[in-house]
Amino acid sequence: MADSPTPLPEGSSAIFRGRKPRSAQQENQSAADSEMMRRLSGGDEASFSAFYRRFAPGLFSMIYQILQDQKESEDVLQEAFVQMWKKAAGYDAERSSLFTWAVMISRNKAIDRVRSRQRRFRTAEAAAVEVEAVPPETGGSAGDLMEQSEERKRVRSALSQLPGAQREAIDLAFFSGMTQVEISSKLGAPLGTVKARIRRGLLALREVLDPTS
Amino acid sequence: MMNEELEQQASLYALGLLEGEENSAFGAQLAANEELRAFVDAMQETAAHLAYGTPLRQPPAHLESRIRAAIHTEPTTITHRSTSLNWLPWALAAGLAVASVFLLADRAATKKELAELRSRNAFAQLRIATLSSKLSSAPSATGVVVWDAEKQEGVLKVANVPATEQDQDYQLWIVDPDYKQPVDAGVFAVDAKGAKKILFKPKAKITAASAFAVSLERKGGAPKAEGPMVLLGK
Repeated sequence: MADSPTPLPEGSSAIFRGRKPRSAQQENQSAADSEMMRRLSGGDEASFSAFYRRFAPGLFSMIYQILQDQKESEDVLQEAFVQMWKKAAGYDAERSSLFTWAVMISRNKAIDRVRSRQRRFRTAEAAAVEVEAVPPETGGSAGDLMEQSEERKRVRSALSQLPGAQREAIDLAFFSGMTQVEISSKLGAPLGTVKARIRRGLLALREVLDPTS
Repeated sequence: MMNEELEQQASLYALGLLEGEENSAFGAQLAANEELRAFVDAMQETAAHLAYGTPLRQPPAHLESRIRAAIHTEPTTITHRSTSLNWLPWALAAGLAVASVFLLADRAATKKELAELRSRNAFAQLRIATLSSKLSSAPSATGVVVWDAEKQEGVLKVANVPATEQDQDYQLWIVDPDYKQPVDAGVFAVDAKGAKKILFKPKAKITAASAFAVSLERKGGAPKAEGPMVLLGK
């Protein structure tokens, strides 16, 4: 690694200078989500139902991927929704989408559980299972389910376009609960290399998922 | 200005991979750099999509009602606005009495008193931090925090801090390496003399308070630090 920070090629840092303007559709969704969370924080049951049914399947899937245990995943999903309910009034649509907000809170809960158990993440190969065609139990709307299915396909396609080393690094970084040093040891790569792969992997993923960025 | 190293740190921060001092230091940088915050937010948005890459697994049907029941049994959200200081927990009051002297008197002598205070069992859980000004326009602004880790509450006293506009508030943050973002500990406004004393309770449980910061935010506060840093101390 260079001794002094490497400045980015001219123009590349412009991507992140300030915040990317949102489309009209994104603005409408953002406004609707803010209103839903405002009502939810006020105790509105219908808003809670809508929030739960829209996000619970995706969050549970992610939590299970991290914990690999049904009962613990149920417990963590409960902890996550309780915390999201507590923080609902503070949700700021200007800073993140509701999806990202929910994912990060839930992921943190799951990672905390992993670290408290000191269980190690199985390799991506060992944990990979075929997509389960599970009929919806939680009554999410057909529109929500279709949207999630399409988004899943889009993300899987994007991930498949990443170099294997980058995909592996961000996979471990996001799901395993390992520290940087542990990931480096697991991959048998220097720490600096792992950090670079994570950075490049996230940037490349962002580029594929949102070319306008 | 962004560079590769900063982007790298930001990517790790967005994934919760920074720890300890590295995390605290980056958190402090984040509080003062809007471009950096925008980058971290963008990386988190991207990382969150990884959740869609997992096999779909439905939660059991009964879980929704179980979660509703858990929420209904939660205590009422604690307000994090400043509360009346007619009564302060005695440990905080004692700690503040000593720490306040630090603002005015000989630092060396007061440091010795503080060390002695901490050595007594009754004060072992207290953390005392002095905050120094980050405002070039108000170099004499200062503050002191007495933090009770056991009770998860503290007291902040500030002096010589400029008055805010009507649509602004000062907001206290606690930097805890366990959290990606500094934890909100409440808003306050100073009096005509630029002073204020508040009792605060953070919005989340603090495992280890590595730093305390005050920023200038919109009225009512912000969920994440957005405005300029005013005071900072460890």
